[in-house]
Amino acid sequence: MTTAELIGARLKALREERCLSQETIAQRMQSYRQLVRRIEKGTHEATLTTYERYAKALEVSLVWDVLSVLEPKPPVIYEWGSIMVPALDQPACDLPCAVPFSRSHKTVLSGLGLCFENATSLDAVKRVLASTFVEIWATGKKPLFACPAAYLPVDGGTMHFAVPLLLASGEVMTLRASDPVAECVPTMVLPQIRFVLDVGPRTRIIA
Amino acid sequence: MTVAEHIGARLKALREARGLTQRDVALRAGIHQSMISRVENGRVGVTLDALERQAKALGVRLVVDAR
Repeated sequence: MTTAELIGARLKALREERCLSQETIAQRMQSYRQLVRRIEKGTHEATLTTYERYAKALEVSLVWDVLSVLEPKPPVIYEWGSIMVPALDQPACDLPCAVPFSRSHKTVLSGLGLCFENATSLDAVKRVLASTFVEIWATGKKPLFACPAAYLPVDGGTMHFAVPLLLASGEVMTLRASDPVAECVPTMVLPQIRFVLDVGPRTRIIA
Repeated sequence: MTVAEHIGARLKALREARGLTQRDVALRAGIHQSMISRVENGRVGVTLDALERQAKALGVRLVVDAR
């Protein structure tokens, strides 16, 4: 699936979520339904401006970025606070636990409509998201670790999505779902992550 | 800063970090050098195809999220 097809499918899904017709989007874009249809099918060689106009008509934001994928990344063990997880398949119950926020019990990942119980491990998140995504990326906006990104391979369809999370350290992290990147090493080790509902729209994460 | 300017600046930084000229990238991407310049400067009319070719030539992958 090409990037144009991925974006088109994502925009189409968002349009249908909002019960908007292609005609409505076309009117908001001051364009033609044919253009909307071709963008959604990924067959139109659209400019960034055109995609932005579509997104504006949907009242959503498109976030463009580039990820380095061709340079092999060595397996890394991430140390997150005092917790070090030696393997992805280690049961969450065996891991040391941080003290959760007493008022919290679950969190909702905005846009996905998914709820995770408190103290959910990344592995559990992976299982839940497996029906939707092929990979879950964990990337920090700041260089939190020796390696800028890691991913969890999961089974399922392909769709781009990013979930901003606020770390206990105050730094923002993004869980990013994407389609397969063959050059990445699938043996990254990730820490257990605990999701805690925050009062605001952001999700607080404790590991 | 517009989206095009943001992504253009990212690609320019990646190119310079790799010690490549716009001409190098143009040859790798199979597009004209002027298009490389247009992308890096965030000009209007840049197509997704050109953006992807340029990203691929730099060994990076274009990612788009809708929120």
